[in-house]
Amino acid sequence: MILIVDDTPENIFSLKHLLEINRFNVDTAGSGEEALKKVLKNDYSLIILDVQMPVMDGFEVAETIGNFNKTKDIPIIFLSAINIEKKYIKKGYSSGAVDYLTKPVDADIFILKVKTLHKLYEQKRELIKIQESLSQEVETRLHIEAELREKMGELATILESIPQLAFGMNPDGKIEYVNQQWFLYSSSEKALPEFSELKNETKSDIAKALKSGKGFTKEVFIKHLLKKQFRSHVFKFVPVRQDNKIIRWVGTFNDIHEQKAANTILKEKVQDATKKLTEQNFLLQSRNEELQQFVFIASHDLKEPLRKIQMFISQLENKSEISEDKALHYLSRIKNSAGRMAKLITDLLDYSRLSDSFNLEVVNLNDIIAEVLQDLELIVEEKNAIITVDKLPVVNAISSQIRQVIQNIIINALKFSKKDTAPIIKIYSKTDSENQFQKIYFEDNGIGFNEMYLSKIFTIFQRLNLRDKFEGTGMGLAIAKKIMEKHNGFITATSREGVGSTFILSFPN
Amino acid sequence: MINTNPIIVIEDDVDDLQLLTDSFADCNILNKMIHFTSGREAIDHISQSNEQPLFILCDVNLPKQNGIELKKEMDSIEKIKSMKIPFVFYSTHVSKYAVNQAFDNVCVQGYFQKNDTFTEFSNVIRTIYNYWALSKHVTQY
Repeated sequence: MILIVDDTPENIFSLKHLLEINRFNVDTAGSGEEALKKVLKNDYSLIILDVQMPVMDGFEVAETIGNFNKTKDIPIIFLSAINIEKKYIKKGYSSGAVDYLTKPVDADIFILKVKTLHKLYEQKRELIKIQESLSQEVETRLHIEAELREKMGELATILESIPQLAFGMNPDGKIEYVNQQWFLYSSSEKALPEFSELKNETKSDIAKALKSGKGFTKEVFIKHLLKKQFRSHVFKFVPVRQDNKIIRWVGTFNDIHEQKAANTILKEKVQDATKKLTEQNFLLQSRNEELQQFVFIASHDLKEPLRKIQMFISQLENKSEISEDKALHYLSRIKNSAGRMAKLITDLLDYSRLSDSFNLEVVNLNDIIAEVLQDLELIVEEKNAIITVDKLPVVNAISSQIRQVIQNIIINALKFSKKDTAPIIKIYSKTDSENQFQKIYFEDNGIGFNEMYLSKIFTIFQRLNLRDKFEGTGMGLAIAKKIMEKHNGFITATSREGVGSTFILSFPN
Repeated sequence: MINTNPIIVIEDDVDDLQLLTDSFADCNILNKMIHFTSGREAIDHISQSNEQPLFILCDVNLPKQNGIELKKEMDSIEKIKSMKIPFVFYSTHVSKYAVNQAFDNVCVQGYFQKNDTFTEFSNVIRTIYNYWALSKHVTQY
């Protein structure tokens, strides 16, 4: 829009008409004051200003317009019929006008000038607009950048404050940021730590995550640069989203090495405890079975003489016309059974007492054997037995119990001798090849036994021979076995029927 | 017809053997009693003899080979097995464990307790005898 300022309405009219037929929008002002008000209110592309006006002349108006920031760029053309001297023209230009025209003016040239100035002004305004929008853009960008920097700083502070290894990665897979802890495991802020894996599984996991947008958590081993060992970590890799778009990824490595080690130790301890319990259970179970067998055998063998006593008594009661001979026979059988029962109970008590607590002492086996042989002097003489004893080692044992073992073995050797042959018993010792056991041998030339029944001879109440031939309760070797086991040793035997037996005691070294 | 087949007794205890002899007389059992103190002797005898025993009365608790081990060995000998001799245990000790041991491990035709009085003892012997004397046996045909 073009503003025409003139105090003469005729001048305004003719100019307005001329401009309007050339398709310009035109506004008018009748005085300098009105013009100033209008330029502040509206936007004009050109002001055509009269010089000679009352109150405020054209020069003053032009200067004032030039001083307003809003209007300083609007081109001004002075148009005067009166002030045509050079000094006015000079004043006009210095007051800020772009042209100073004197009347009469050629209408065509005037329109051309107006057109040019109008166009220039429009272009200038366009340029300013572009410049403004550009600077706005620049400002916006600067602002965003500042914001980003601030956020990045916040993230960095957070990542720096946590004990874990942490890094930020851009969506293209480039590491953008690492915290201080990172350098315990990686020598570069651009490279991941060294993983203990064959096919770079973790790196391909990261690549997959970047592609799919889905984070993951897994256990990895990474190498500590100073300790030079692979340590167990939980690696977490998660995307950071803004406006539904992944702008960054954050990864953390949490050290669980000690935790895992503690877990392993705990596991081992539990396993140990379980193993011990199982062993104890097994021991208990076998003890239980042993006990059950013991009760079974004991009850059987104790019942037998009892039953016979009852049986013979019932026979004495039933038969009124029983002969005296027969009655005496029954009575002797009753006495016999009662005696046998007493012996069984004594032996059983001896056997069960073996479980009592004990003290080991240094025992000289030669002394013990000498004592035993002295006790058995009568039988030895009666049987014409020849007994040779080598020098035997000293062992750690319960003296009274070892004495019982040796006595039982020697008594057996004398008892199970061949009818017409004098017993020969040789007692000697050997150390086994691995030096683990001291072995004491009792070799005889008796009736022997079939080795098929070896395990039976050490079981309570088991006998290999008829009772009327060889008297006994079947407890002697069972007691010997139990005593040897209590000494962490064992008893065994070798034998040939009709040739003789050798009983072997093994004491731990 | 009076069954005259012998009865085989395996018993290591002299008192019990005496009781059995008395009991056989008490029950009027006229069959011959063949007595052994061990399974070994019994097996040797049965393997060599052509006589079919009426039944075998066997103690469980024997020296060396016990009654169950003895029956097991008898079953493994084809000749004795084919004779299909009724086999009956009698023992002082009777418990769940003992009876299970006998019936689980081998095939026997009875398990009887050695009683506390002579009358009861004889009753058991009489019952066992009558039962097997009446029972039919493949060798009769």
